[in-house]
Amino acid sequence: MKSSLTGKLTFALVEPDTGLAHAVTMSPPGIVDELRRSGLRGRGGGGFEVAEKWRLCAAAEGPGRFIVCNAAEGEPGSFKDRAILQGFAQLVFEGMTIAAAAVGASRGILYLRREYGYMAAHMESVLAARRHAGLLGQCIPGRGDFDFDISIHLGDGAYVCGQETALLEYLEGRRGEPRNRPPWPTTRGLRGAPTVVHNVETFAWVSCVLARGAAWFKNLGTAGSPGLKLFSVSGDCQRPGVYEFQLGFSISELLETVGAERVKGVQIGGASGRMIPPSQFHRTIAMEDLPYGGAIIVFGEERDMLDVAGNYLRFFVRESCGQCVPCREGTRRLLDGVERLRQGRCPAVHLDRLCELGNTIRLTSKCGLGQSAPQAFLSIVSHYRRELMGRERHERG
Amino acid sequence: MSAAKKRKAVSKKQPGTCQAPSALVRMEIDGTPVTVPMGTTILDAAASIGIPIPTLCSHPDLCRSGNCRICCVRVEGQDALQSACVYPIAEPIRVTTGGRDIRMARQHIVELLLAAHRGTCTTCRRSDNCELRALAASWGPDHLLFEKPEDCPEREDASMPGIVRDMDRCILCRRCVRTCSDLQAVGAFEPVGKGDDITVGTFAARPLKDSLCIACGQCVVRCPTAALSVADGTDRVFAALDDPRRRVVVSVSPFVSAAIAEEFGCPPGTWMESRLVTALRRCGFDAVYDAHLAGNVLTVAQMMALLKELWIRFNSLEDTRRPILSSACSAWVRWVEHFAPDVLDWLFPLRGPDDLMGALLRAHGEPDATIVAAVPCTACHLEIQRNSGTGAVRGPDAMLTTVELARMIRRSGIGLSSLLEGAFDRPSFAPTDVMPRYPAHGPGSAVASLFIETVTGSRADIRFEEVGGDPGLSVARLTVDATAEVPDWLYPYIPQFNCLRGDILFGRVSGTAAARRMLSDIRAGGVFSRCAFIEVSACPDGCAGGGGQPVPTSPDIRRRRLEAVHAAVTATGSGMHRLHGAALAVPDPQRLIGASFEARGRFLV
Ligand SMILES: Cc1cc2nc3c(=O)[nH]c(=O)nc-3n(C[C@H](O)[C@H](O)[C@H](O)COP(=O)(O)O)c2cc1C
Ligand code: SF4
Ligand code: SF4
Ligand code: SF4
Ligand code: FES
Repeated sequence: MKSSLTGKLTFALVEPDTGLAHAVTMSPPGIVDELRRSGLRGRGGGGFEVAEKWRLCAAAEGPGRFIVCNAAEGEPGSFKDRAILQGFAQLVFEGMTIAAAAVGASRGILYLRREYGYMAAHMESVLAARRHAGLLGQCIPGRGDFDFDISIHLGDGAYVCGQETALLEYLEGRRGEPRNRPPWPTTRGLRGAPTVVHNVETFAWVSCVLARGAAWFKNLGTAGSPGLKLFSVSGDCQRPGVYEFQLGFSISELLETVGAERVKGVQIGGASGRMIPPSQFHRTIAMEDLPYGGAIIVFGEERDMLDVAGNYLRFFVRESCGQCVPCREGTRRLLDGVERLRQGRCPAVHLDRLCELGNTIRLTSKCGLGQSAPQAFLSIVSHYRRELMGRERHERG
Repeated sequence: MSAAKKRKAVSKKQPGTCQAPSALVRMEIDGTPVTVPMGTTILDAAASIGIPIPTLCSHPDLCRSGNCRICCVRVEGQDALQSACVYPIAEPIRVTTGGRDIRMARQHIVELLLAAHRGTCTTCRRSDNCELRALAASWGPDHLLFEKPEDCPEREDASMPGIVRDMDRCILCRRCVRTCSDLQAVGAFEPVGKGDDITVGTFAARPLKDSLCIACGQCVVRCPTAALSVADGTDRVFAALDDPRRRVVVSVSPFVSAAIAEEFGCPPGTWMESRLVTALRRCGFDAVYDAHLAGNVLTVAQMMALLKELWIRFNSLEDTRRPILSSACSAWVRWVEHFAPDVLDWLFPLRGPDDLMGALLRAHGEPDATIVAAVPCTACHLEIQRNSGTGAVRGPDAMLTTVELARMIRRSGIGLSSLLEGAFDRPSFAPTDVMPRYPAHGPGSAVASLFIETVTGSRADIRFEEVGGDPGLSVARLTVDATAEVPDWLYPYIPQFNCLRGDILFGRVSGTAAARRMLSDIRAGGVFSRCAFIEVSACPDGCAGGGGQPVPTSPDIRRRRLEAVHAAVTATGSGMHRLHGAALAVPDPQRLIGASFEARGRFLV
């Protein structure tokens, strides 16, 4: 793990609990203001402004409030949350505590992906130490009226359970399926109570922002996407791993850092992201240009883009919760299309219709899974159309 | 049992759609301004100004789930389209309901559903009222873009008498899941699996008869396609009719007469009784009887039981207060057997009216006939099963639901409009030609009406009022001030009516989910615990909404059917006890009218 700035991750440099110590001296709206000044956006994929989420949650009426940390990390090619939890669980719990102080929550839940269950014991011990130190539990120092505790809930293996409302459904004991929104979790989340859900990394950055001040964070990155962010880089490169970057870096810079040459495309945002061809490697990773997920996958020249599209689609066909029509039925029709392309049986008009269908899936699916499922396919069709269409016709089989 | 299996299959409530509206919001749909209460969905707001938005997974009786996405519209400022049926309006938004994206999206959605649907409309029973087919006509493509699945697994389940599940036709709208858990508190269905493997299944993929299904058929009347349908029993009845040596008779429930006209294109609430009688004679039935006679017999029997109980309570020192629950609905009985076996003995054990009618006919004058019952209900089959082998006089030989009866009439080549009016035959146990009509599950509960008429000597207007805004729960408060003389036939049960002076409560419950709420109310000492008698039917709005009634159903359609039944109610119930006496004038009346129940519990092996 390294940072493109300092060689060392910021998380390793920040002294744990200085942010919390700072936060408990501030009023709840003061904490929200500090985050607003930092410009921190969610690191879970949606990129929603953290301060705004907290403001909405604090303003909503409800029986109690919850802070939920999303450690579902189901995105293929993403492993940064695991690294954060292993190395910097303190910062994550600290960030949750700061959020609780800001919105007035008294319970936090860390939803841990089942495959990460082996870390639960370690994290429980971190929690126990925090309770012992008076950083969790009743009457957290500095703020006599502030009670907050965190429990760990082992999740489901399904990818869709990372979608925040599906995660909440699962926590309530039902099938992990996304809810209709609005209402958003900030108004009606877990058991009907206003709930803040953030990615693991987001909470860690909250601690850093409170420790080092909003101005420090705001000055990094770009105007629209301030600050730093971790990325899991994998695929055809010499140095795969978790990297910290200032937002606004270009794909070429990235490829140089990770040691990738003869690259055919870079998938930004894991399976739900999109494929960027070499002609666009000057583009930058930032909300205002290429929205970021946590995973970046490099595809070398020898990769077959049709296979890549097919693999991603197969993932969605399998991982769709099966609730809504466009996602459940549409993704498998796109996959059928990939099969036809492979057999050289897909005329150009049919491919165009598939792209229209992809557009419908994007526009009408109930949750982000379906809305982003066709992206990889659509971007590959638009940038590698020649390659896809150039198959020799052969019979089915 | 794996953790996944244990998860509750509870459908999602949409808080946004159920919120109590308070403030008003001014918004705009297709350029037309409209002001709606906060929390109204876009779909309802659009409907209020006459803008139609197609729907599929939503249903007027059910919580919205937003899973078909056919109702997509554009909310200005949002990238993705939004489902109008689940989008609560909370701020002054601007909505457009048309345009290329929306048109294409709806076409795609229909196309995707058709591609996954293995039905053949030409041989499908539901093709005339299939919602998928209707959507395809308006929104679907001219040619199918995607290939249909080649394999055609046999996935039909006809294990539950009266109900057929054909999962090849299922479009996964989950209305059945929501119906069975939210309206019926059974939860026989749940989504199983995910992704492209998802299905709607029963617990451990058991056949329906081995699940906790109570055969109410409520899922059947809400399924948009023929994935759930009423099993067709017309062939058997035709075979009997075709046999010249056999005498075949039919009894008709008033709830069939209140709804069958819908099958012939008439508006809901069209009462079609006398022409139906003629139609059935034309079909070849040798006699056509009115099943409400058996209903009357039951009403008298229930009232007698109630008076007896009230007299016992009056004389006993200990407080035995607990309501008597009706048992006329076999789906409700099955529900109690499964989900509340501890209150089985609160049920007064009587047969249901349509089953009893068959037994009465068999005992009086029709011993050798093939007896057919025309019923609004899919659960009557359970009752026949229940009584067989118990020594009880056998009920009907065959059941035909309203939709099957309509099919029979069509297949007999009979046009209803040209028919003359006919009158029911008088069964030999009926003392006179004209009998009072006191339909059960109607707008005025029959037992309450007869009770007040008998005890006070005059008919009172009985008004049931909803309890806690729950359309499934209502209570009527009757006041007994003056009392009549106790008639001779009641003297063995209660020697004086004076002890009944004061207020007496009657409850009425429809839908087994409402019944579950009623039972918790009783346990909590609520208003239902003070009721003397509670009439329960498993279907929302009782038999008017039975599982064998025409599709579609909605609160409004059922209200009209009930009004039609109510309009046929006669002014007085006098003479009912003579009918009761004559009908049960057999050596062992218990074999005719009695029933016995079985505690089944929730865990089936
Ligand atoms: C299909 C799907 C899967 C998701 N998986 C994750 C995940 O594994 N981890 C995560 O933090 N967010 C995931 N999200 C995003 C969450 O819904 C939510 O936006 C996020 O937890 C909010 O955190 P943030 O404010 O920190 O970005 C997923 C979203 C979708 C649609
Ligand atoms: S988009 Fe896919 S994953 Fe999301 S609700 Fe619909 S079917 Fe489920
Ligand atoms: S018949 Fe009634 S109990 Fe059975 S599955 Fe359908 S709704 Fe549920
Ligand atoms: S069986 Fe009918 S009601 Fe149930 S999900 Fe399938 S189509 Fe919908
Ligand atoms: S009718 Fe709105 S999503 Fe199905």
